[in-house]
Amino acid sequence: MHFEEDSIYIEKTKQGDLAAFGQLVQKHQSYAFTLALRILKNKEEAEEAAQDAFIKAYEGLSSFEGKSKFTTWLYTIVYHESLTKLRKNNRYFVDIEAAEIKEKIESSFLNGFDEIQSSQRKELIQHGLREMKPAESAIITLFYLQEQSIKEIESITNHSNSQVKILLHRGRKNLLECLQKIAKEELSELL
Amino acid sequence: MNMKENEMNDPFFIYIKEFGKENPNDGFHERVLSAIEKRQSVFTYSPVISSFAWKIISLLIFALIVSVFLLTSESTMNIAWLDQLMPDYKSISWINLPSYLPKLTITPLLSITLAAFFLFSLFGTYLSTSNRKGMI
Repeated sequence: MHFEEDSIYIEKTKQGDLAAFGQLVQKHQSYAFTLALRILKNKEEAEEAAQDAFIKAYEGLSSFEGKSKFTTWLYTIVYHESLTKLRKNNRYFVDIEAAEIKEKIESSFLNGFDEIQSSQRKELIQHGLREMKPAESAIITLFYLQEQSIKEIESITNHSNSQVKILLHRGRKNLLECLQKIAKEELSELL
Repeated sequence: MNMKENEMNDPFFIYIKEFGKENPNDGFHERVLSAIEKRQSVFTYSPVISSFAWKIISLLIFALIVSVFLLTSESTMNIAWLDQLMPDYKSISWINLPSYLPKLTITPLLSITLAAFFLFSLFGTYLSTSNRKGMI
């Protein structure tokens, strides 16, 4: 499906064209849902959070001045909507300790990771992301999948620059550890 | 460092993108639109008397009170207005202003009615705000 620029849909929506907002939803629903899912780890809750976020976006669209990217603005709403749902279930915590994080990406493992089949790799990544803490997997998703810059992630999450970097670093490290663990388990099962 | 360089150095760019995004159930955008339409169709309070009309009414009431007050002063009745109004104005005792106003007798029944009306309006306001909070 071919989509126009966000600004075209936004202008039309501001003029009262609800169908234009429908196009905007279709254009961004997957990324919004993915972000909510990474935080909530539950499809039903994630869909509900994404839906509520789009409704809030519609209601607040008149206040969107275009100073930031529409996606950054939308992800901010999705992120906070998901956190609200998470807090309601008492599942939310962000543990940002400025503890020393060792830069130790195990290149041998990553080289081996390149060798395995794409479908297997996807399965491992999915498993790894599911096991991660919500705050870390959200930042990993925003950075790697949605290609938001550190500055944009700061504005989405209300974290400081160093907090975002710590969470991103820790997220990467935890994902890698998780992948190693799963890979080992699968390997031992095969043997 | 741009994204392309990042992708070269950081394999997570490839892995996470390869895993890709997830899709909500079919008809997601239709559900969003129908939820928006539903919210728009919910009765939104709009006052019967607009704020502008209230300003006019307040002005009229004020003018009425002032005119009653001025007309009760005998001197203003006899004299041509604009020239003579100011000297009389000075002679008017503002302290006795309430005595110019019509006396209102509040019977017990009227006071009970007023109290009941006040409580009922408070209850109504509470209900409407709690409903609105529930919607949000």
